[in-house]
Amino acid sequence: MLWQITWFEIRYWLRSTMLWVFTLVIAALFFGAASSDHVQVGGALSNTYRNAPFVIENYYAMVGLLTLLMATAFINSAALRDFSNNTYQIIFSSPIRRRDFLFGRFFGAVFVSIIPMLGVSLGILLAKYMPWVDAERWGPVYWSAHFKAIMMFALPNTFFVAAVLFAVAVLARNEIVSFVAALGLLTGYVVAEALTQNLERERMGALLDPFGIRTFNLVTKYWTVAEKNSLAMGASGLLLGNRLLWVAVGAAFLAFA
Amino acid sequence: MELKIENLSKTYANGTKALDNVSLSIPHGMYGLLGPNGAGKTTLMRTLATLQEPDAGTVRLGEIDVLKQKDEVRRLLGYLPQEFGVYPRISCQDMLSHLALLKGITRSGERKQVVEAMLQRCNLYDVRKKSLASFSGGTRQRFGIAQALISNPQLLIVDEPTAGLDPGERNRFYNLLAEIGEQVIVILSTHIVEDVMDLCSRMAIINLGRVLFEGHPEDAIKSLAGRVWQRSIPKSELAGYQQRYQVISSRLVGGRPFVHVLSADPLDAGFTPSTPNLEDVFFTKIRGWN
Repeated sequence: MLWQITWFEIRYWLRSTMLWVFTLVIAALFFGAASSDHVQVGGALSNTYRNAPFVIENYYAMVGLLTLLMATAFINSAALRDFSNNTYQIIFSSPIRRRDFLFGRFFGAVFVSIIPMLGVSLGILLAKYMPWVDAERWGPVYWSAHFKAIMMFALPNTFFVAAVLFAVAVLARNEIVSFVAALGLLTGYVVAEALTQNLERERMGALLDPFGIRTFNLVTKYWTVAEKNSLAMGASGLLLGNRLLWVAVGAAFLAFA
Repeated sequence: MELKIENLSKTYANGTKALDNVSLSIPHGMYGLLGPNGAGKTTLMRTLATLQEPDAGTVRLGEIDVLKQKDEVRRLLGYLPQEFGVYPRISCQDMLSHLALLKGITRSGERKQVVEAMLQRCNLYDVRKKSLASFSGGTRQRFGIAQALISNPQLLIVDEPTAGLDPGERNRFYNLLAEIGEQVIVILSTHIVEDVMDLCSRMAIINLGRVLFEGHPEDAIKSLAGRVWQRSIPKSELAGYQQRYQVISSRLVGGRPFVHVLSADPLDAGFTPSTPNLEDVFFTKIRGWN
């Protein structure tokens, strides 16, 4: 039952134009960032390849902030659709298990929320073949970097954000509250980042960043250009600790809902 | 199986007494629940459909305690709410299939068959690929009945199902209901007297949360035999008539008020005897006359 509901949720969104518009917007943004210096996301690309594993992972770490509000729309809909469309009487007089239903909707929404993030890969992969790019700045395609970036950043970030927003949506049953919560997450993140700028607490700050952006920055701080061009960070050390921590926090929110 | 409602009461936070010590026993077949808007019908339906809790009372469906064993009830229940929406961007067939899944038809092969058969039965097969959101009132209501019937319910609750349907659609809808009503418990809530007259072998009249009558429609009509009188009067005299007589109803016929009056004694002065109908019963009960 759980997976059938998840699958329904995914198919439901695959039919929507909103999802594909979001994906194209993100793809266009990162296409621009990768192929031109006029577009920058989180700082200029310095001396690495423009499609270096470092760049890919860095982009995937940051894209979560950009897609936060898009994810809010998907997650809200998953949590509140039966109330906003007045179908709750039919749905809730059915012999559904609450757990299957909510988790099914949730996992579907997480999967769908990741799709716009894949625009990062799409943008970078396409940019390589543009006639105006300087071929010397482009390395080989590291598929593993795309894969690891999705597994280490896109997936856990979305899970965390979705869990918080889903819990808020289920408990508050109000779309405005959900969007305020999303904005709260965003501003809370920026404030927390400012407060933990202190060098001595660098490791602590890196562990506590729910999006893993500072974790990534800290771990790669002393990487050489060659390392940045060829290494993709996987599940190990500080990053793994950070990811496990925030997935656990997300799971706690879900359990609460 | 029989549905037994005993001493059900519900008062809302704003003080509205929606159900006041309601007791009914509802056997197989079509059961009409007749009452004006705001009588407490929808509260009763929603309580039976496990969507809200009463303050007091019990409901049993056969051996099942409806108020406690909600999942067991839901497995046997088909419910067509008074108002319901649909998801945007989804076809009739996909939504019906999804609802069938939620109602427990988990094997996809079986679900496909059941959905297909139901689309045929509710005359939705030609529009199965169309978006639900684009459906007209009648077609949407047919979808509503399709989803209520999809899990082959033993208890079917339909709340004001014919509101907004044109006469042809209403007729088709009745035929569907009548067909099902032979085997299971069907509760039809409505404020339209003809709905009950045409379809139901048993009925209850409720108003302001109280049961005013329970029984067969014919018995209710018989109880008024010889006591209903009718005549056409000038508009200016209507107020006077309402003071002097127990006026059951007045409607305009050719621009002039045509009144039905309740009286045990024969009336003269232009009144003729009228054969009582269910509408007379309805208004008499609601006004608290006997």
